[in-house]
Amino acid sequence: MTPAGEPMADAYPLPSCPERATLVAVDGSQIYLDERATALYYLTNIGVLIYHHGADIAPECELDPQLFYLDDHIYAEGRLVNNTIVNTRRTKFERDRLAEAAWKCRRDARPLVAIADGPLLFWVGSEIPESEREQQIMPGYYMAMEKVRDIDHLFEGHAALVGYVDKPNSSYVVRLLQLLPPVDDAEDAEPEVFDGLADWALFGVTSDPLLAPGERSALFVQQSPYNQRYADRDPDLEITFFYLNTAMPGETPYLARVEVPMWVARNRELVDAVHALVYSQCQLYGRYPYILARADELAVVQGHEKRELDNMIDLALRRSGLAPDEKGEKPSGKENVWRASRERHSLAKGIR
Amino acid sequence: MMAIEERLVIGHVLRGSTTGFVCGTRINKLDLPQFGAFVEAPCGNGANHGDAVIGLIYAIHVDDDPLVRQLILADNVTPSTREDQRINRMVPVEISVINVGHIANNALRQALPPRPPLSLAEVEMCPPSRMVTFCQRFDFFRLVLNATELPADELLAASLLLAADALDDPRERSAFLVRAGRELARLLSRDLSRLESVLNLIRPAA
Repeated sequence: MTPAGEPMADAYPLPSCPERATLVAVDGSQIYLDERATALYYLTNIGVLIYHHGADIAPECELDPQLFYLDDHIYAEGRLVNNTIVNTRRTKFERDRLAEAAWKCRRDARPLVAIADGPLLFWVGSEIPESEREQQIMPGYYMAMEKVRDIDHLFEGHAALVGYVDKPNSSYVVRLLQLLPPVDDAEDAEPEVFDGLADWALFGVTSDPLLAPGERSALFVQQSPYNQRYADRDPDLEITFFYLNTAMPGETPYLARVEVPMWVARNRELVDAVHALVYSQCQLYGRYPYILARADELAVVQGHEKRELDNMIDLALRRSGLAPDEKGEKPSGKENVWRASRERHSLAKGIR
Repeated sequence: MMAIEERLVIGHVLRGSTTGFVCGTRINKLDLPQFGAFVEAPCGNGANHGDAVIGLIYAIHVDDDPLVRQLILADNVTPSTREDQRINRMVPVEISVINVGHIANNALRQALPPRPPLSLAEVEMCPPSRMVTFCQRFDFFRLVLNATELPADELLAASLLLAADALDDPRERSAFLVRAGRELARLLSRDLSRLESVLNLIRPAA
């Protein structure tokens, strides 16, 4: 169950942080397709931040906005793409960009840690057309993981991929406990006593937390058919995880689930580096990694920015003699006027 | 032959009126503007080429945002996060300016401009020659001293010291400040404590 053979109930103290490291973070945002809009489109925007830990220089920022409006993009099996499909494609783009940015940094300071917001264990449901799922999304996702793995295997080692899940509600370890035989004085205990209990209650309960600030749990492997597919593709890609108390010393516990592929889990030195660097990032921002907060800030598309984009599309259509349908369910003329925010400043940088 | 003075653009007009304007800039451009500095911006819509508003910087504001507040709460600011804020993030900086004169048809006037600078007009530091020319007269003192909701005395003193620095000859600098002091004595003859305070502010350092 624990890939590194670590006792399940032990807490692992915060290792010393590497003096130098390269961290790459990615996050994404989107504008969903609106069937009532003047033009049918959806947009994804990916924000990437490259943080040179210990170098005392400004991080590098990258943005990758993409507008999709061709029939091949906005229709799937003859129907307009829904939000789930857009989310799935965006997640795949995020991991592509993360792998590309990590590859670009392959000769920078090690360890190299590529962090995505959300779980690494990504699977695509039946709502995605099978051909797209099996021929594009999942193979592309695996290849992005393998690209980071290749940095580790082919270059100087010490390259990790991380999925960061803030305030997890998962109950993987609790479900594992359900499989244990009952202790002598609890023979009548029913499995239902575990219902509704999440892992944070084990590791981060306020009164007597199993994990002190900065400590991590053992590494676990989630046993699921989905994870088995990763292992079937390549044993290096099977997803493992540990819980981390990201609170500052003296604060109440705050739990994150940190997912890493098996090639990282097998390398104790690399796990220690991930543990220390992720916690270090959380200390910068207070419980949550600074680089992910910044990647999110770069990526997010705000409401007023969507309105500005719609306005630009309207204008371009009119200039081309393709006036929007006046009879459609468009907003009224009053609602459709330019409504730039009256706020004097925005943190916008390109499209957010 | 006169040397061509470099244009030093410090930002762009965010909003303005005939009495003053606010210039927006980025935090990494904050090396140039300072309290009391003379700045100028094109006046109106630029139809009359060369018309400009001349003003004094009386306040520089660095705004915050949720991310900055969170970083301060975390109390673990590193050189990298600090540089990230200053270089990558558009941390807004506002420079407030009081209008003290304008240029119309190539004539310099120490009075409020007929039109304010418009949004996004470039704001630049006045070159030393403009400051020297402008300060040959002291009519703008009254505009500053009568202004409310700004530190008028400190502003006038700071601007006079900067104007004096634009003069090459130390004797000229001293004579300029004496002349300015006399004008202040005339304007503030009924408020001796205020006069003393301003004169103390422009007194050359010992």
